[in-house]
Amino acid sequence: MVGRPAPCGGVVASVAGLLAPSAVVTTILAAELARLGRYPLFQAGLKGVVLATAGAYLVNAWRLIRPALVTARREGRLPLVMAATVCAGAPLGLLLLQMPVYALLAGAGVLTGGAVWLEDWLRRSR
Amino acid sequence: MIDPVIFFGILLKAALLSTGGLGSLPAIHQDLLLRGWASDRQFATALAVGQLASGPTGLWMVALGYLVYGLPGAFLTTIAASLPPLLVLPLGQAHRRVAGHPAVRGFVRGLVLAVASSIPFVMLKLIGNGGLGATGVGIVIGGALLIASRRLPLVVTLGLGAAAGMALLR
Repeated sequence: MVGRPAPCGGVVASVAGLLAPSAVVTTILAAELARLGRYPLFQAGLKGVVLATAGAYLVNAWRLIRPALVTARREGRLPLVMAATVCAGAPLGLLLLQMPVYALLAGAGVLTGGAVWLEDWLRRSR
Repeated sequence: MIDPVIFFGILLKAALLSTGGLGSLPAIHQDLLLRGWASDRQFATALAVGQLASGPTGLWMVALGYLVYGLPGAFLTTIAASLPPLLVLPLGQAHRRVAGHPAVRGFVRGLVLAVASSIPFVMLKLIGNGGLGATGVGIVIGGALLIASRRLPLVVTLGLGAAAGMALLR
């Protein structure tokens, strides 16, 4: 882009350029898949895609979780324990206890943030 | 009957607090199912569309919007998904000021851990409601192994998943 920078206009143009065409393609694809969803063979294929996606996301989730746990371990025992508790507790709270998602996210953030802050404070005060 | 204002509010809230990609899945799943506005099958189809379509994977929401509420749903979802990125500059500036604080670092990490650990279970729940079965579990594990090996692009893995589904899940 040449000329005077226009941050706000640039952000709006970038978001519109990125999302609008993809949103149109996604809507058309959803409409077609909904139409073809009547056919059992197609339904089975779609279920296969979702199952493979779930498998892919298991790996991606681990790729997100692992570095966070490694960082927590480097910071100390308390952040590590809290991070592990959040990892195990979030799915349980969501699916078994039916906890509201936003309360669960806020709780996870506050617990982990508090643990990291406390560990840091304890280290400084030693 | 879907109330468009509440529908938009649910999607916007989820998009604002999303960590990207499928980050909004747990919240939208809970809110729409609670109101009886969407089914697990619609979620499963939307996730498949989100993986197959071009562009950011967060656009699975647009497919869900269409499946649940037609074209108005797709439009409302596109607007809801477009608004959070517009906040990226002011939020980025604000975050830079506090990013080094231990509590902020820990808070962000807690959000990422909670979302990342929940999404696979939410996905398995919504596709497993009709019974996942040994074949379904096999496809999940196969997909995970292929992605972990980094030898095949995602789209090929999904194609193999579709082929396995057509052959084994009819």
